[in-house]
Amino acid sequence: MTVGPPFDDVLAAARTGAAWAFEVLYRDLAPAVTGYLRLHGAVEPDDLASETFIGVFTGLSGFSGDEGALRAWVFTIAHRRLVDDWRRRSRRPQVVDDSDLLAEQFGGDVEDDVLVRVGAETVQELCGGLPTDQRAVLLLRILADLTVEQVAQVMGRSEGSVKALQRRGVRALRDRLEAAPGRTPEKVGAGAHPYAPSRR
Amino acid sequence: MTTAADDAAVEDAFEAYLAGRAVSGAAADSFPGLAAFSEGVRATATQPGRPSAALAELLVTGLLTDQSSPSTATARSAGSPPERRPARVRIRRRTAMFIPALFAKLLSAGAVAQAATGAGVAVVLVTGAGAVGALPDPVQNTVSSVVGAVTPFDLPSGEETAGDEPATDEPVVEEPTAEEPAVEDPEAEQPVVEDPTAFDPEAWAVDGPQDGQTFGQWVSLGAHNKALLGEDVRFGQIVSTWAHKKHLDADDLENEGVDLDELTDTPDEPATAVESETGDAQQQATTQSGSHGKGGSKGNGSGKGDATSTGTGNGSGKSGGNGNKGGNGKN
Repeated sequence: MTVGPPFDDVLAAARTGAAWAFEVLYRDLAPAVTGYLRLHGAVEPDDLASETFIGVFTGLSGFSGDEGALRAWVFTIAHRRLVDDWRRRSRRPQVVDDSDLLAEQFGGDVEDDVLVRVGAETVQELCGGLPTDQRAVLLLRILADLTVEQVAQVMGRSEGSVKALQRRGVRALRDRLEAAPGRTPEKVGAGAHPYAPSRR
Repeated sequence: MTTAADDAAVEDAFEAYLAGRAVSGAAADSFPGLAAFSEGVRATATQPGRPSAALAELLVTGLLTDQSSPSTATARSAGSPPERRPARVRIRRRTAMFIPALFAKLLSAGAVAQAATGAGVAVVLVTGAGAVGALPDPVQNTVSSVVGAVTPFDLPSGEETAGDEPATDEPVVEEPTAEEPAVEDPEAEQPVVEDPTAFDPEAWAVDGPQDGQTFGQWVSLGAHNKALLGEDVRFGQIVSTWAHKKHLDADDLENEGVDLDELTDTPDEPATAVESETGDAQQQATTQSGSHGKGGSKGNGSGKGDATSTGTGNGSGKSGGNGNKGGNGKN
């Protein structure tokens, strides 16, 4: 939350139910939450994200903590919604066709669009090939900017367990990238180059 | 083939990447793939998903119950955005942000049904208000025209309702004139009451007593309208002249209630010259009550009794002071 009012002000207003504060929080957190759910193979990531934020906004009165704690709490709710959805559907995560979404997000340059689409598909395939826990750890660290400790809280695991999952996940990704000759690093990350340099 | 050392190096590189530090060392060569993967992951999460209807409402309205509480003001002042983001800008930004998503959401079947239901309720409310003319003129006109175009009903337009009483806050109240027919318009009484200006002084003086009119009545009429005769007219002289023309002697005049001497001596006080009729003049009273018992504009109009009536016409008109025709005697 680098732009806009101070986090404490937003949180205080959101705890009283102010719509503008909800909007600030949603604008800041919703992309990551929705991406997290989508890359986990949620069938209806938008609906799950909506359920997540409804739970967040209606439960803010009982929350206390800083911005990092809020992010961890929001992703905790999102992760639980995701697990509940899996249980309801009794289904393995699957790759979702996001062609419509990609068409909305990108446009103008055909070559760039193709690269972005390939990159997004590749990312989804790579995520889909990871075990759920490893994927969860990596996504929470990459998308949600959570620390190992926070990821442990979200997943209800120990920090050691999270570190082990992360290590195995990184190794698995590297092996898959090296094993697939056509999946060059440039191609995998094609979607990121025109838009998203590192947030750091 | 990766080794444990490689894993440790890659893990360190991964942590450095997440922390925003430059990746170096042994993992620098093998890490670009992971960095690209991370960038790709972030690239897929650049936009929020489509909010559900419930979430969209929450984002637009907030939690209204909490916002209306007294503690909200304090919290809002403490947590309000900086001055560079006034409320109007926030609303505009928020609207711009959610319009595409909300529009796309409304296109779905469920949302369309909700919108149709909401629109139906709105139509009922608006047309209901329009039916009673309770809308502002521009809206009233629009509703009236639209309803008139699609239905056989006619609603009042804004102009028609503009001059009405502020009936928007009250049930429909009929006009008092429609509810109280007993209260007659004073203008409606005018035809009943004879107009004093109907007296023709010239005809009175020139033509004298008319057929069916006694001399006393004629004198009374002249005395009653003496002001119309003019100051240069000698009332007593005219009466005397016509008394002679009618061959009325002193006794006849006395019977008529006319004191000729008094009229000629004090022409300016006709009221005292006319006495109440008695005796055989009672019938005259009844007839006079119909013709002269008006007593000015406030005449009760009930003295229209014919010859067989009880003669209740009181002739108590105040303007002429001619109470001499108080014909309350019976025939």
